[in-house]
Amino acid sequence: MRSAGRGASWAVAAIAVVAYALLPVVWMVSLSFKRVDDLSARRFWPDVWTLDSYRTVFRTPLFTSALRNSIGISFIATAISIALATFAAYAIARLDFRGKRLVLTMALAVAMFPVVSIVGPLFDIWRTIGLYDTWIGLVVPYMSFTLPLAIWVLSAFFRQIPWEREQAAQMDGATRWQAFRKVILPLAIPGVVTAAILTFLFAWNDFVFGISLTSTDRARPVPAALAFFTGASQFQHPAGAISAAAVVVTVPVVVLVLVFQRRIVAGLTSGAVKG
Amino acid sequence: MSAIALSHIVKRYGEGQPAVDDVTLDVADGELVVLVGPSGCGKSTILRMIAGLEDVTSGEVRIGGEIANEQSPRDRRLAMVFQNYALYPHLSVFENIAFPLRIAGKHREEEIHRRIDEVAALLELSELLDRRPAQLSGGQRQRVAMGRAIVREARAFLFDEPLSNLDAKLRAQMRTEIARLQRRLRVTTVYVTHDQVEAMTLGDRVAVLRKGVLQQVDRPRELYERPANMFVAGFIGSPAMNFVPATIEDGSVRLPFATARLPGELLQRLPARRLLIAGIRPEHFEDAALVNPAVRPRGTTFDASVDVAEWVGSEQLAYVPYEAPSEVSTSVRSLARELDSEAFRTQLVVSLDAASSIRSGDRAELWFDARRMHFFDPRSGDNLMPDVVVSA
Repeated sequence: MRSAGRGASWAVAAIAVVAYALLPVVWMVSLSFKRVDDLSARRFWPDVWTLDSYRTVFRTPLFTSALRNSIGISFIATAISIALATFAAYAIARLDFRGKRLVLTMALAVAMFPVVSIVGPLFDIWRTIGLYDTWIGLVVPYMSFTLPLAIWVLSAFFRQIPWEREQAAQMDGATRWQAFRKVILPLAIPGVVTAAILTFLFAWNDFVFGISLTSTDRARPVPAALAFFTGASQFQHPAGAISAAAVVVTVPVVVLVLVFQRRIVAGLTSGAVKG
Repeated sequence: MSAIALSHIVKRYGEGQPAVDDVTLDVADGELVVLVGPSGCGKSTILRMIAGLEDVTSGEVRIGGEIANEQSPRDRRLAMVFQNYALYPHLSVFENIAFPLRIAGKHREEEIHRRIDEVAALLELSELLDRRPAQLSGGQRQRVAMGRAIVREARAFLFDEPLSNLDAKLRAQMRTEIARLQRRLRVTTVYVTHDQVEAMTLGDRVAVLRKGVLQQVDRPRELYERPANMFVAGFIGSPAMNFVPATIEDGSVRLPFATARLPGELLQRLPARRLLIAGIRPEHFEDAALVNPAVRPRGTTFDASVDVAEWVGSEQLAYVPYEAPSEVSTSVRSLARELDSEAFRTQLVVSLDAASSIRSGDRAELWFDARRMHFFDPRSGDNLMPDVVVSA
């Protein structure tokens, strides 16, 4: 009896939390399927389900170019960040070098640094050296802010791999690089995936840099572009189009997280549990 | 295949006592030398220095005649089996064994398959080639690690406590398997273990280490019969050798529980009227009632009260407490602390014939041959007569 009561109250609490968290998302999805004329009708679900808003969105160059920018910039930032972080983390986990603590402390400091505070200076610098409103102009800050997290996640992973495996590879005739590529890296794949997803999400979701360091379709990513949305014509209420665009950029994130959920949790807690 | 020669190698981590102190050891081509000692004696460090996984602070490592100090592990072309096997969990058994060949990159696919089939047949792994290491039992993993070592024509094998993660039965089985394999392949082998039974059964020669210092290198039989010092004497043999205080007086040896006569030529070599440590192996005692009358006069009999007797089928272990004069036992105990040996208790461990009718609590007459005793200097622990061997 008692445990049943407890289970029920847990269920109620869980439903409340999920409802609270998901209600805006569901509202967004619902809006994206409504006809433009129904947007102001006071109903939760659309009377008529339509893909009009999606069609509008994909016909708007503002959105398609932004989507292209977002995908391109996020992937490039992730790739570079993970490549660098893998080497850095390996060095931190395995090698003894001067300034190792300094590197780790700096990495932590960068991760703690409030993003907003460097946007202004960065804007000035980028204007001066010509990186303003370019892909690289966004890739660089994304990379710098995700590197620390990636390094921490990955070095925790590398530390878990018994050193003897690598030494065994060396005894088997492998060079350090071969041992890294053929033994250590395959074993660290879960960590690499985790770090890559976290990095990708940071870049994909970023708004502050996106809005401040771009001015045209050349480099403006989706979160920033949403703010400039007008819908099919200037005179239409853009809520439907904005919702549709938001759904389009949310779906990949949701899919990524659902697919790799367990990996991410394992990756984030690995260092903490097994020192 | 090559000989391995270590000369005056030292390994120092930071300040303080070196982990390995001036060890000189030659391993002949095709020989199996076991490094044995309690944990922390530096045996694994020596092995890792041979492997190239650890730098040598000073001294010289030669493999196949060439100085190897600065060579990377791969250039030394040695094969190593690790304590936890260090298999590659993301590769199948086949690929684990093939790893050294693939890395070498000069073998054709058919050749790799042929070699692995050979090795797998040798180690009875043929059925398991498609499995992952996680799906194998401890003994099977052990065999995969060995397969990975022998598939490549390595110049020497290095084993780092390869059996310590197995249960007792499997350990004995793998021990004989390793011995058989080594005899068959005749590859120079250095084998590290803390288990003296493994050392005695496997080694052509055994090197006993203590706190980074080489104590004695000899054939197992020599170690047993002529231990260089108390440490070796106490370490080799199970149950361990009994150490009892002894003094030489009037042509005989006075022990706390008996006085034994010794032949004159032995007595002359021992200092008189000084406290010595006598070492007697448990198996050199016997139930006096069971001693062959022809042999009996050669030894000494004494009365003892058996505290506990443990009958284990093949033999019977008896524990015999004895009274030692208090001044002697204090000095022996302080010595025991210096030598950090646990062996000094005022109790004899005696191994008797299983047929003996002695039971716990009995008073019994025991027999031992005093000529098989070892005498050690109480201060240095050195064997005072290392060259004397009396066979039964």
